[in-house]
Amino acid sequence: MPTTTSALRIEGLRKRFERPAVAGIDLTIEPGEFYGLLGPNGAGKTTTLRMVCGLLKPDAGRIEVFGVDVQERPREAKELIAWLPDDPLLYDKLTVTEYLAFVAGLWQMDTTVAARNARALLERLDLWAHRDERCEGFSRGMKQKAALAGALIHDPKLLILDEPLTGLDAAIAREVKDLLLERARQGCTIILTTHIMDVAERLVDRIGVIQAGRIVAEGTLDELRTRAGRDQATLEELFLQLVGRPGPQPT
Amino acid sequence: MSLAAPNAFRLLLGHEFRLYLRSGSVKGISLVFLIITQVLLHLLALAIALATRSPQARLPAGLDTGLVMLSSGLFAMLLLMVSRSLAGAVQSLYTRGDLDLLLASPVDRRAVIGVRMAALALTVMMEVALLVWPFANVFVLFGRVAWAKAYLLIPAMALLATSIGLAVTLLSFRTLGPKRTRLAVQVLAVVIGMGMMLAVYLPGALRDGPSRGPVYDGVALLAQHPGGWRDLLTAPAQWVMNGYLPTAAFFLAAALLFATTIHLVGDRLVTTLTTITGGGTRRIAARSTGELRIRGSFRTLVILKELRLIARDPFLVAQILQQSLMVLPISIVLWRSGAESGLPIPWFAVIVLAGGLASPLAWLTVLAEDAPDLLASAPVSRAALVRAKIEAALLPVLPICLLPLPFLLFSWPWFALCTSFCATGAALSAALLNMRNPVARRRDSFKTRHKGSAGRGLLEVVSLAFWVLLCVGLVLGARALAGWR
Repeated sequence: MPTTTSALRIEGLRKRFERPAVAGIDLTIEPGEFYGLLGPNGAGKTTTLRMVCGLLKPDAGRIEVFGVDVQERPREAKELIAWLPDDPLLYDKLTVTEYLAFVAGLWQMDTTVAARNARALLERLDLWAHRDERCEGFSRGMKQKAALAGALIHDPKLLILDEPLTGLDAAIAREVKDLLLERARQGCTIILTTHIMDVAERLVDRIGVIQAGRIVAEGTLDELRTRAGRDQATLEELFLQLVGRPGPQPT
Repeated sequence: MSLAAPNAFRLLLGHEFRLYLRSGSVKGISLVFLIITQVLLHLLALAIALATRSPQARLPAGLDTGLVMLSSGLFAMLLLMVSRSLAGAVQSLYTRGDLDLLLASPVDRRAVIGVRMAALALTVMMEVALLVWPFANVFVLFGRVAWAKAYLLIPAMALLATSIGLAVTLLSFRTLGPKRTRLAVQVLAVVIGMGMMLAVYLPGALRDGPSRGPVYDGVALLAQHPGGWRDLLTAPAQWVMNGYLPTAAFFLAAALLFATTIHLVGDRLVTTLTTITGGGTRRIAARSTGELRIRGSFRTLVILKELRLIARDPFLVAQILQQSLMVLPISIVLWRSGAESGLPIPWFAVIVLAGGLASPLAWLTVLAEDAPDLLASAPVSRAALVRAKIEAALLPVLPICLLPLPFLLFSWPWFALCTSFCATGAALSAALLNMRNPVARRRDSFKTRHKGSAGRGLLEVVSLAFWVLLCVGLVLGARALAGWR
């Protein structure tokens, strides 16, 4: 019987700054899954994801991306990952095209493929007309779209998004969500953190709730409802129950 | 609801000053430091007043020299103020992010602009006044009452300089557009500031014979110059020396000019400001290529990216230009000190220039990365990345390192080779010193890049001195050994 490699496997992950930020996380995400990592501010979401991307070194634990150990073979792991934080990773003085060319160079893409992907992404995200404009004049939404294009240009197998919809207007948020769902359907594994529960409820296949550096609940929305014994509860109600803050009582 | 005019004025003026005190140029200067500096300046003035009590000690070489010295000082101060007001106007127009807030408030728009420009004039004035007024205080106490005019003269000059600065900025905006104005005005401010320094320094530095200091020498040289130049140079001083009325008239005229400038350009200025601070709508387009061009290796792309980021930042370009111009006085010193050797000694300044440019460029490319997470998450080795960034920093310096070769290779081959070699070494050393205890910083902290790393600044100076001395040793050593030339 053939075995499948998980998109992401985390075992016993720990990281401490002044206090423990991540206090022993175990997590497995399968290829093609759209996974939502939810938690209150300071719960350890971003720290966990930064360790997955190889930006932070864990104190303990093991991270594998499609079977590649992030600590032992970081370059191979990074080839598979794209990281998009809430503050877009852009250069204000570069045009979108120059930015994408630079990112393509970092991932050492074939130039023809890179040019094709860049054009497709810019057209898909309504940025083609702005391709020769510097990012410094862009709105927050346009910057986020340009950064998303940069994250997707090398066709990552694992896309990690930290609060990608923060500060976006409805139309741009819709564009971004549609593009993410499209990528998920094409087989890209996506991990997303958000404080907007409606977004998580509509987009993700499975949810992990993290608090004080630990996963306190995990499963599909229905599984979380069943465990909480609240069949009609919204994700927001479940989330507030899980993280110990009282939500509105059902009437 | 609209704020009453006096309240609005007080509020806005307080706001301007708070922002100024927290800006990069004065942030960190405490009240204690200011008081200590003022006390020291008063003590210095006291020492000068005591030392120059005897009449023959007051003027260096007769009345003419004294008048030229006063005129030169006034010109220098005015140029410095114009330079400062240009830089300040650019900062008011582009750097501050609060204009939208102020202009969207119920405060009269003209009041916002008027206060901002008045605050600019006040800061321009205070920067000079804090240096000059301690001397005026002491000299007036010692009976040189003419120095009391400094209390009117400096505010008048600040108003004049700010009017000039505003007019030039607006003219530049209208002719060059918002994008180029920032670069043009900042470069102009640097050139004026440095030009003033050189104007004071150059005449004395070029003079033969025993020196009594560059300023004294320069003034003495100008005073000896016959004809119209001397008359022109002494006119402002004679105007100031001629009783109190001309100074008071100058102050009133400058105040009137400033008020007229604000009144005449007020509306245009508001329009300009709102256009520029439109932020999201100000888009700068590069030349359209039609098609996407993604070419080059990883190394080429990193180098291109770094060079583009530097070249497109007017503030950085102005600062780098300033550093380059700083080498001119050094080359003059070298020229004078090496005049007897018969060698083209000023070319040693190329070593200083190369090292002095490579260091900030390497700081910008290596330590002031805008998107460190992007690079850290990319599948490239850090070593390769840093190598490419160092190459990007050294690339603009390379032509300077090689500059002696086309000019000197045939006439002074060994000298040319040594200078180019040492300039390259100085540039490389200065760039690599940025690798020592690297701490990521923001690009806008360029001017304070040595803050918290004074050791690195000192090492840069030591490294530069080493390469200059090595070059001197190689050149003179070879000459001594082989009887070269």
